[in-house]
Amino acid sequence: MDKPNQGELRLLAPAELKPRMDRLARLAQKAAADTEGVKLSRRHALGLGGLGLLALAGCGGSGSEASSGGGAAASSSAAGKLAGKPMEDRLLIYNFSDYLDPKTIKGFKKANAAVTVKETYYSSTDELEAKIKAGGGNYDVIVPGQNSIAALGQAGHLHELDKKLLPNFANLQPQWTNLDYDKGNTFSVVKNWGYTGFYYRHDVITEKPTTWAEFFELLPKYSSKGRTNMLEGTTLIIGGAMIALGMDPDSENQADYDKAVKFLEPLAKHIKTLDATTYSADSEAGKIILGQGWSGDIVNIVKANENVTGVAPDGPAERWADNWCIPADAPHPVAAHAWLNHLMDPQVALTEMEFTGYPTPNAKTWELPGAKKFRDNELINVPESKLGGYKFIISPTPKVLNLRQQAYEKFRATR
Amino acid sequence: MSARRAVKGQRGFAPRYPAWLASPLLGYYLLLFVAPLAILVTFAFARQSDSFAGDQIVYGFYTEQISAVFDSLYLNVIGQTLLIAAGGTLATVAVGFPLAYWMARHVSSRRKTIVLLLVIIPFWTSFLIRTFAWKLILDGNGGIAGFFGLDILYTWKAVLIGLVYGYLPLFVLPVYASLERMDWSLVDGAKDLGATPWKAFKEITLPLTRPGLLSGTLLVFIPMCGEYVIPQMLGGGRFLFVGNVIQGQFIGASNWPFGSALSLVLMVVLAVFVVLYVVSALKEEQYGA
Repeated sequence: MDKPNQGELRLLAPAELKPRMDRLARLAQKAAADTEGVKLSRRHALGLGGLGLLALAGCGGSGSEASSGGGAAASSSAAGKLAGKPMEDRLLIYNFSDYLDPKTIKGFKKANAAVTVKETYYSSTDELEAKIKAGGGNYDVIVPGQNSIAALGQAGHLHELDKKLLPNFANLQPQWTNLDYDKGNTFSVVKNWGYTGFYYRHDVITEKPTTWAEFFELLPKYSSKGRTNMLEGTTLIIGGAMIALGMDPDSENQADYDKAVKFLEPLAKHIKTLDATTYSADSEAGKIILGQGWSGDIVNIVKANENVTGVAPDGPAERWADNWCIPADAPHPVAAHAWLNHLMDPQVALTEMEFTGYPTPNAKTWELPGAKKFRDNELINVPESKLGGYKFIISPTPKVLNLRQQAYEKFRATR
Repeated sequence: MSARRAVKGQRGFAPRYPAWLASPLLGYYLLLFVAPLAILVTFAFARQSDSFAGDQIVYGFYTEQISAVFDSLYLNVIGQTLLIAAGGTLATVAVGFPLAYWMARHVSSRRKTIVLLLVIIPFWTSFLIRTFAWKLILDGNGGIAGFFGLDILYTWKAVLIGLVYGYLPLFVLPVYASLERMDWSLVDGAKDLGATPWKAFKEITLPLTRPGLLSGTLLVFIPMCGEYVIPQMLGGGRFLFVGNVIQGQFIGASNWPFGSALSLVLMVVLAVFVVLYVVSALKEEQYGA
């Protein structure tokens, strides 16, 4: 993460498509690694829009074939019965690409010599959900975002965690356990997290905005001075605006979405671009004067351009978390628990944080001397006073997705 | 062409092949065209489940997805898409026809292969990469557009340029083929008989190349209506094509039934244009060259 720009290939495409194309990114990365060790980061990895449509055709049907009857039984009966069982000899991790330090796998193998670890990748949460619902992937560990846990858990696709096998669970910060989307950490522990903030060119914008409300107020004032950008995609524009307006981003009430659209419509012409993939590189080059961004990107933008100020907003903002989970039909649940426990080791969590650049929920990691540069960066180590006001967007029902999408199209259709 | 069949009893010269030889083609057609279309139709008449637990798609014959397309929001998007695609097609014709004419008429036959190759070569590179290159070219802060003081990236002008660039070869090739096939002595004859160049063009060249012109136009117009990458990249995501809405339904809302219904309606609308084309092509065959 020290040199985030070097060798990264960044293309413009909608946020939702980006992950779908990570498979391509992986191929490219593999080839690149052989030659000069080029790296593509998870959030930026190729979002090849056009190909995304093809990929769509390819995955058609898989979601509909989900059979969920068996999973529910498996998850409830398996819980609490693992302690004392022998460790299996295999572990299959199903993860986003470039989202796990290879050193971590080596370390785990050293501690558990009998276990063969393999990692395989998905390119989007959709793909993960479809595969898990269809069953039969033989995955032992998966990494769903906060918005997938409810859907997968409800349908009985997740293994209830046996806390006896997770002594390191005690290392986690209380604010990152027992979260709304998984009360009591029944199915998940947080892997790492982030939030959606904003940044601005302080040589152009003289105000010092610190809240989303101020961000939106400045859009009309400065849109003629340069490019303004928001993150393309339904969730962060509609959901983000609803959070800024103090509403529930997962509302099932049409009126709330109408309010959000009414708020955004006059701003639409002042948001010059909707871009989630090249915005980071463009911002580092100073081309965006006011923009919404993911926390990890904002850290890099601020590092690369001294004229840019990054903001972890005061007051309401969006936060997200990726989680370690075990599928209900995991063939090697004991090894999976051992993996989760290993990842909650403070030192391991630190190497992971260095690799991914995203903050860990591990309290003891933050106390380590090696964590100093993360500790001192308020864009990464967001004070709890702010973090308390950040909300998850969980999207618990298809209705929420549809209302949000429709609101987004109304906004996008506005000139 | 095939209008005059051999009269029964008369010996035909056409070789006879057993019908089953067509089966690979038929299989290809069924597997890669009919089957996906059937899936699309099935989805379009299904409905999304109310919950993430269990099956995500409830199959049946529900017309609610189709009727939801006729909301003013989506009709506007479809209308806007058709309008921009029509503009893009016109611009492509304006650029492409003279190019094809020049290639057919004024390039020496020795160089024709090279010129043709130059038209086709961009196809060897990913469409996405080429569109991305335009983003760099049109960037007002960049070297090229900046030098000319152009600042049109993320406007409809950039989208239009992208459309014309992306689809030009698809138009030029069929038009070039029909110009190339044309009997130019007819034009010389018209001129000898006192027609002005413009009149000769209008009375001879244009009617004779109309089939190529029409198929080129359709070949450009239809994919432009489904365009998705260009508005996203060069329009900065601020120009909504129906393709972007369909993508949002599949990926953003996970609403495959509605996404399919939108695709289906778009296909029906575009089919109207195809029918118009077929009708005019048939007429051409009847009365034309």
